[in-house]
Amino acid sequence: METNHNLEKIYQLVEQFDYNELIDADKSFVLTQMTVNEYQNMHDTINESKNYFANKPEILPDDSILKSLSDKKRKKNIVVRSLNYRMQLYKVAASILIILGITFMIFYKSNPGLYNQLTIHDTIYIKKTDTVLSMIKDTIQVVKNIIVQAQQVTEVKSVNTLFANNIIKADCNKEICPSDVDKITRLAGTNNISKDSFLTDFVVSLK
Amino acid sequence: MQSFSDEQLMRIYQDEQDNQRQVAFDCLYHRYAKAILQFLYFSLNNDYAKAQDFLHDLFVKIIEKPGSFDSHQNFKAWIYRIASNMCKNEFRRSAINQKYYSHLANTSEGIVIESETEKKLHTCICQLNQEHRSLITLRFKMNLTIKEMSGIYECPEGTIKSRLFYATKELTKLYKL
Repeated sequence: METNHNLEKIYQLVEQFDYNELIDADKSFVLTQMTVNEYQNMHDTINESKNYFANKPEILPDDSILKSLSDKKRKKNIVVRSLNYRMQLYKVAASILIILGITFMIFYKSNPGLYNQLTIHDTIYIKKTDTVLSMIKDTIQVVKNIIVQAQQVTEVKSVNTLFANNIIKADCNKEICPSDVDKITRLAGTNNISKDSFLTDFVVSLK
Repeated sequence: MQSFSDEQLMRIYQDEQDNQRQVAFDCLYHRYAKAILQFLYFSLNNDYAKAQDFLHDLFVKIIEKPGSFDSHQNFKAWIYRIASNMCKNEFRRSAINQKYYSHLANTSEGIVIESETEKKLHTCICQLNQEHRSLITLRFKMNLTIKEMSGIYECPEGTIKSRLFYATKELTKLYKL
């Protein structure tokens, strides 16, 4: 069986040498693969093929091909080249940033109030201390809030009415209740807080 | 430009911003158009018109996709590989083509056959299958080395020698009958 290696060697020999030009070792090798006649026929065919091709007149490319290719190149220059134009990445990034910046500026100018954030701080921090005076102040603050809430009710009612109808539920240990009005009045009477004009006014207004 | 290697010219052509690229392309065309046309002509069973069309199409491919050439490979092997693949595809297309090319084998359009020996050899070469005909053409007409052919077919030199052996054996069988 012919191995590839043997075929390679035989091809080298048959292309270059006539059988009679081979050395004895090569002749022996060739004869293990094919007959003398087969070898010689192959060698002759190769030589005749070379002559056949060598005698052929050369064919020249048609002039119209180069002209057509030039037209193609020109078309490519206009259409494809503009699409394939290479640009550095930083230029692309800078262009995008500029476009975005201009767009934002135009949009912001046409809608100036859109980005003004409105913040509402509606948390009331009540600082609890152990002193009587600060407790009273805190209480007053809570009462003020209650009054404000009460004013928001559609039907305007007095604080007492609100308490009576359970609209406002207050913890009387921490917040002022109707029952506390007398106590405050008495406190005001003992002059413990008489110097606090604000408290005095408040007690008067409650009365 | 004339002193530049094929690969250098192709690199210039690949650079879109190089104003010498058109000159580089024309230089490559003049270097290879004639040789590729000969190869196409014999591979396509002496179809002169089709060989011209294929030559045109091949260079259009280079214009449209210059990036398909890897600048580290051999340009000659690359362009012959494209031409060889175009012929291979052409013969794969249909049985109608096979009949057409068999007809061409007997007419030998475009060339003058002097002797009976040449006529017989011409017929035998045309009767070879496409791969064997391309191998014979590259080796005996284009005078490419085994190494160059191994670059075109992307296989070891030993494989090319084996294939050439079988191609020559088939041609001998047809020719010496």
